[in-house]
Amino acid sequence: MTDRWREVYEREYPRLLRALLAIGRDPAAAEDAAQEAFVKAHRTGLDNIEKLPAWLLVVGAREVFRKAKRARRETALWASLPPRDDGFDTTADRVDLIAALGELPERQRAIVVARYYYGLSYDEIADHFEIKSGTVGATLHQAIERLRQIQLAGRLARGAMR
Amino acid sequence: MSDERRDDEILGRALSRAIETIDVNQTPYERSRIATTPARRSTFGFWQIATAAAAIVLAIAIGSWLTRPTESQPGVAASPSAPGATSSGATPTPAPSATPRATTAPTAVDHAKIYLARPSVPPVAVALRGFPDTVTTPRQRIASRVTALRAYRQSGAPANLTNYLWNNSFQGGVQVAIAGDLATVDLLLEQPLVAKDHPDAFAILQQLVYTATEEPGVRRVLFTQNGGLRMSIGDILIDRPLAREDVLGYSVRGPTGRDQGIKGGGDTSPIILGSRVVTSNDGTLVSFTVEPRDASGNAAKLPPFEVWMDQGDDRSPTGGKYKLIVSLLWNITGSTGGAAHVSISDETPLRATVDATAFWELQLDDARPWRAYVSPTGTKLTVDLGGDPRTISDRIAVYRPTPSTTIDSRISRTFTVSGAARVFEANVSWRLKDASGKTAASGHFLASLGSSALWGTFDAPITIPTALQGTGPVTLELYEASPKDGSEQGLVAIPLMIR
Repeated sequence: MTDRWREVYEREYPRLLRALLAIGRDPAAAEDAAQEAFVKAHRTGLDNIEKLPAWLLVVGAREVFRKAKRARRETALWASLPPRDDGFDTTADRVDLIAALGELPERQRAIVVARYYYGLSYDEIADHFEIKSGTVGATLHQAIERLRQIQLAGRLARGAMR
Repeated sequence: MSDERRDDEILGRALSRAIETIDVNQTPYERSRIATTPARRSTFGFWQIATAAAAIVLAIAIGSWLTRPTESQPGVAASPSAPGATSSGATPTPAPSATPRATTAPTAVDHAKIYLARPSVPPVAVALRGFPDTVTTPRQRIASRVTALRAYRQSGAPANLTNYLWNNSFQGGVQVAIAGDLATVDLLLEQPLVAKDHPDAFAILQQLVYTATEEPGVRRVLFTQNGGLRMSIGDILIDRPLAREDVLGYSVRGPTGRDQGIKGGGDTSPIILGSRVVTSNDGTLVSFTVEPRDASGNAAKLPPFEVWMDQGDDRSPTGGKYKLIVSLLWNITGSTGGAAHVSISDETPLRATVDATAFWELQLDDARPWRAYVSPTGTKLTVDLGGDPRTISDRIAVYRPTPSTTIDSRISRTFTVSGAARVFEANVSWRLKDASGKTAASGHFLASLGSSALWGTFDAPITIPTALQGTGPVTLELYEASPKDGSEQGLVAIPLMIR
């Protein structure tokens, strides 16, 4: 029983932590939420959970939202960052993307992460995040479009610096 | 698939890859909450047994600790094993005790380290549990260490060490660029790093600089915030790249280069067959002693020797950023020295010791001040490195009393100040100041040696004047009165309490 959990934990924990970090942005809160999600899964029992990765993501994301609400300290900092002008190549792009993700509303962040990082289907997303299945596609497209704009703005700003 | 959908998919995948590269500090299963909290539903399972077993082991440990023979060394009895077990008794955390550390001697310096700080003395490394698999480049390792520093919980810190960064929140966005030996580390900060006072701010600076420069080959680091802006920590503004020596807290750095070395000894007559070498490291002061032995195993006079500090190469598996070299120049009979033996100690500031019989290299974390002196009999060479920065200057090092020592003047009006000095004609001046800064007593004494490259040692009695008895805080100051103009050189000021 313990070995099974160890295996599950070692397979799922890093991915969950990254996802929650991308959604919630606060490392301590993400770690806390990821640990909490595992505790809840452990209490529920492996046999009672159908799709564990998605289950963990949803429970973890909910935990992140709950914490964020409690200590709401959103800032406009991510948007106001001065652009970098050197040496960060693809790392800069990646950091930009994650920063841009932070610009989206929490729910959109979670759905984007669920879709592209966890590879959940529209139906699964609709199911787990309790939204109408017809609106998943539109919400995703809207979110990605916004990401693109933010990232483009960042690139233009960087280009202008040169 | 429509173009629109495809474009979305491309960006989505890029995002997915970006998320995959986020540095995460994975809590190992053993320390996860599910492993450390006994499951409510399961029957008498593994963890209950483990808890019971831990409790029994603990009971035995406490029992044997309580019933330990009283004549045993207090230092040994108080070693971390017994009290450490007590503190973790309530929730079994099997991982730390199960770590098989002592089984095989390490063959390389471990750079999976971050630094915690201490008030007034240089920072000390604590080990990470390696790096995540995704962390492979120097840039990633630096980012990973800095992130780990932010996430390091004070509750897990060894005694006397503090993670002063813990109260600060930063998002975890760490960007690193490396050019030559300079790393530029940019932190994404919602608000500037805060500290309650200057010493705390300095401690955070020490932790950041030491942690970032733990990467082999990196000697300096420039910290910036939010995309290249100047970073501030409390009242400190970082406006230039910093090396470890810039934040060590000493008034001077260790002299570097063979021409800055110390030579001495000179008796080539005895046939020396080996030497007794002892290294001690209390995390602040490293002390290295060599005592040559003659053919019958008796102490022999030191042959000519040379001690100097040089830059090291920490990209080598057994190297440090600096090395202190001790070389005895004797004619070894019957031995060519053979292959050098390397022992890894990996405890700040000593990472490894290379022993080539009559030639030693102490591989070090930084260039902190060092000194060398010889015992009055001429049979023992001591090389000391570091010490409490408040007690060390370029020419005076006080070993006792240590700062904040309480001296009970009701028991004895006299106490001994001991240490080493390299001053003109061996003449060390001292004075005792009361809490208001007024000099209440002063005088001078002679060290064992003066006006030489080698340091002299001293053990001098100092008498507390009646006016100071039972007054509380005082300051003991030692300095060299310049032979040229009487000005005070190499002053050290040690805060003491007098009762």
